[in-house]
Amino acid sequence: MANEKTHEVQTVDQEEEATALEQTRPGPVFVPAVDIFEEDGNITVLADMPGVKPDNLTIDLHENVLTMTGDAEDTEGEEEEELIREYHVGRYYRQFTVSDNIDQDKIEANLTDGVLRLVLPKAEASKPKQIKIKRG
Amino acid sequence: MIVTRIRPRRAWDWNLGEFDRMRRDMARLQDAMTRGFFRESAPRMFPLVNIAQDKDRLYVRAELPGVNASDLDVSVKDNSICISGKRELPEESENVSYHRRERSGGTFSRSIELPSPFDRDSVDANFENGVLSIVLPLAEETKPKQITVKAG
Repeated sequence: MANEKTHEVQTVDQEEEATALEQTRPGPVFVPAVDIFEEDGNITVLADMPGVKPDNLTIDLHENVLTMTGDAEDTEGEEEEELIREYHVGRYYRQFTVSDNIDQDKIEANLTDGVLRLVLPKAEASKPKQIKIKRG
Repeated sequence: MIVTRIRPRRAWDWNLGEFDRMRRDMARLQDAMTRGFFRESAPRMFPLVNIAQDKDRLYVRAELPGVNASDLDVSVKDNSICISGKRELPEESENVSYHRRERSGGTFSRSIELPSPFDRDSVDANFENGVLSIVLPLAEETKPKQITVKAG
């Protein structure tokens, strides 16, 4: 009987990017699944990019557009004969517009176990300021 | 005055290019249909795997981003391999507000039957960058064995 507290991981089909953007490298381009949340004055982006090493990852923030590009490593050998193929290995690419002003110098990026964690601290100016109401 | 003769269009006047275009469109349609069908029948299980084989080994690869090696369990039984474990999404604090949530966490368990017998004592599993690679050497009896032909 299934335990009500635990639930099973949902599988997501690989989403292939049908983009007009021309890629300089041939091969499939996929959209990585992301979680984006805001907390304590930071915007955090978590993106699933299995098979991508830090050397093959580029993150770019330009004019409030955040672009992440990661090339996954294909470990398949030449001699191998495919029996079952449920996923393809290719490039991960996703773009976002970042609405709040971000302190670009303080962006932190970390790639562990195929998950990219980007922490974008919001610039001081955009944090809501409490205005004290004086008794008068 | 320039007179232009207009020839009535007959069936065989069709540009051969039209046939080519029709053929390509049909092929594309067929491809899309078969791919759609395949996706329907494929089991929607996590993780997705690729299985390959060369003359000495079986290779099983799975994408498991964000899973800790300590939460991952690989076991072999008879002719099948079982990949199970859990993917924990980091606990966030109370005052977090989500803009987008596409990743899911939880438990998973998948058993896959492999096409050839393998040597269970020499199975090697490696987990790197969120990709699990398992190498299973084929059992000796399934490998092709050369038989010398004696002359005379």
